[in-house]
Amino acid sequence: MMELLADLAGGFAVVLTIENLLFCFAGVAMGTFIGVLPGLGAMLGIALLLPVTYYLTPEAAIIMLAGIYYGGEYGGSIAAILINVPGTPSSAVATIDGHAMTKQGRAAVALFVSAVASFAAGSVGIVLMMLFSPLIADFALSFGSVEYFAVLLLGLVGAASVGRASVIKSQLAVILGVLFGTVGTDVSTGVQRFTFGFPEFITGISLVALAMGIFGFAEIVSSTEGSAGAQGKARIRLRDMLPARGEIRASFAPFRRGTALGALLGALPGTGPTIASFMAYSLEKRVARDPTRFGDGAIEGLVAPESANNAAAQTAFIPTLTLGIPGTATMALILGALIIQGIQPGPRLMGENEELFWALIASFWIGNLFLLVLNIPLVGLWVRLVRIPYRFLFPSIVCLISLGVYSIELNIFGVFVVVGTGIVGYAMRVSGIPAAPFLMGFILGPPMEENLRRALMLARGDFTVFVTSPISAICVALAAVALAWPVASWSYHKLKYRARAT
Amino acid sequence: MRGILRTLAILPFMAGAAVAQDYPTKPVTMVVGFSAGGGMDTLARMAAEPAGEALGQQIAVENRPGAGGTIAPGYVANAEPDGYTIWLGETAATIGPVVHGDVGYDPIDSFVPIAQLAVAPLALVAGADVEASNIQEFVDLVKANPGQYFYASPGVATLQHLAVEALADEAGLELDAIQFQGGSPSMQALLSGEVSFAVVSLNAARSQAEGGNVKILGVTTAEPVPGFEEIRPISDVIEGFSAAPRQFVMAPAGTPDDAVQALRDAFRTAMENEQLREDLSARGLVPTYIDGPDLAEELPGVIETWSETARSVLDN
Repeated sequence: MMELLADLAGGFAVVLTIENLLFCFAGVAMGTFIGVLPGLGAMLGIALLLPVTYYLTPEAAIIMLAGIYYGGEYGGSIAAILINVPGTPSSAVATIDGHAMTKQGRAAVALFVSAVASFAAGSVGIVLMMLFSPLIADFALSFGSVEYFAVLLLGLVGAASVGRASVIKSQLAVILGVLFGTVGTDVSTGVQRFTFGFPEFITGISLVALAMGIFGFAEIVSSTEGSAGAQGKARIRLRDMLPARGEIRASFAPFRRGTALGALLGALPGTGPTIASFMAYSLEKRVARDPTRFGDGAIEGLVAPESANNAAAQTAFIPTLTLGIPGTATMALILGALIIQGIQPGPRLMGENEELFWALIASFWIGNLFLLVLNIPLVGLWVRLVRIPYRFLFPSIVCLISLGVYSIELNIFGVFVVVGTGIVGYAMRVSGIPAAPFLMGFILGPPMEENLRRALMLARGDFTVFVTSPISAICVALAAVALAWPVASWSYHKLKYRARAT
Repeated sequence: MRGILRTLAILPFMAGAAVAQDYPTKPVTMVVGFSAGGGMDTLARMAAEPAGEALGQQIAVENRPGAGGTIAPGYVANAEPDGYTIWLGETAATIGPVVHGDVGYDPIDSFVPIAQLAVAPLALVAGADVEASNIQEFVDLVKANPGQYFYASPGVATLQHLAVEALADEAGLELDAIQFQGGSPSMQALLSGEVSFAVVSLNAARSQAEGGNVKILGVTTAEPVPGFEEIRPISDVIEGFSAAPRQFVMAPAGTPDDAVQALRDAFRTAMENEQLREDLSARGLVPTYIDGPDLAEELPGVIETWSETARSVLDN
């Protein structure tokens, strides 16, 4: 324990120089802003700043880039809550109850709760990283294709419960999402599916472009008049931000569940903040005493996913730094920045570059504190954003989305994908098919298929592997119960009704 | 018309230099098929600086990722062949037409080779528990247990996949590929023991081997990698085996000769830069300069060999 504190103190000593503090602040501030702006995400921010890091020390470089990453998780939900357009795909789920709160004139509360939940969950993530990195990394390695498939299956079964549409329409949305996910090269065979001769589709439909189309463009097309919150107050005081006492009490359990789920899924390479936030939401809705409140501004529906994605954003560093295995594309970029600095990430990184590791941890604390301090006073400013009439706000958002999607690949094709999926999203809206389960199907479907086929190839076609592994058996059983429950309860009621009728 | 405008625009700056030389008059764009932060991007940025100095104009790196690195060559092949747009390519993209179908370029006809810069050695690695610690033991083990072992491949028809298939073919081995999306998931599968073998970059292999998580069986280059002579090449056991991705600079076909010559000179000078060679070596690349004309002669054969393996893998 003493050693741990000494290491951490050493880390703080590195971070608490004017220069590194400045880079940390620059990182989180920039992360928040690009997180807020729809279409611009941490990925783009890091890619843009990467060439700059050639001229920085390794510590300054990674502190800044990491700040952009977790700062983006904070910022992403702001636009989702206020204008129903998620800043990043991982905050898409915050549109559901977060935006419902804005419509009730409680935007300030939603933003405050989101910032506090993010900070608290991020802190838990950092503590886990400090204490148990090697342990968690070992645990992550116990996940093979079989386990990944089972976890993703469970997520997919829960996907339909995200959103407030009817079960049939939600299931339809999930299936549509899975179908959109099949576009691109099949990982197992190399066969191209539904690419229609466009080389851009070889690697599939871009998640950012799709999320911005389905949520962003569709929202903009369907609401062409007015502004989101004409009733918003001009001046926001702290009192306006605090949730009701009952809500605070109701937030603790969702916070714990969201953080735990987020920390777990973040540490697994291959799942990440986006999957974590969606699964946290569907879990919350399932355990809720009154699930019908979800979608109407239930505080649990905001706290759980916000905790989950920020906990995941921190624990995602564990496999990246201890194993040298980045879980997401953004993490791969951060690893890239280390390689540029001549540091080869791998199992020896923590041993050989101990100072760097602890400096990063210390910078997480400081960065999260910066974010909290930055975000609470800004709530008043953000809330005023919704008073901007749509005729000014939406054209700017369209520009931002297009710009962001274009700059990632310098290819106009991405913008066409946004427009195309935007039309799909609008059609779905008109016919009452919810967007959130669609996005979840799109995100979970491809890795689930990939891991299913891989698991079966490794087992040479033996399906029993999914029940012989304990982790997988539990997940498959839970998924089966979740699937069977509505049917069982429906037939039970039907039987009871019939028994009474006769 | 654009050419005339351009000439007019730079006339004031040329007042001092009364030479007929009119290339380069503005920064050159070097397109990379991968995102910022990847190995190719790092190589591009490291090489662009000294090459730009030698050229007398800045070389700006532009990332056009997508479609496994085949968007960038398609873009450059169809760019104006004026010497201001060049491509930093690698072997994988040259077999793009075989793997992905129509990608909008022909690896030989669409380009003029400028120079080869480096070779990226791959390493065949085994999990820590696997009972093989060199190539001979690997061959014996797999031969004794045909069809029993799996190896991780970072994607169908990637050079890593093709290298193992070529190796298995030449040594008469039976082992099955399990496909992953990229090098990191395949390394993860090796560490978790899901697969027994993998082919990864030498740098990634070394960092994991130093941590005791994997064993390096051999490298895919024909010769030992300078500085790491203790890691034996696979060709020690399987004679003539060589399968290392190359990194090279290409200009679109039809680029004027003087521009091609200026670019070739610039990259030759850059590759003589000791600092650049050191920086490349530190990142797991072997600086291996090959002049444009020599590369033009060598490349078709190399591409054909890889394409043949790719075709046979894809047909199965």
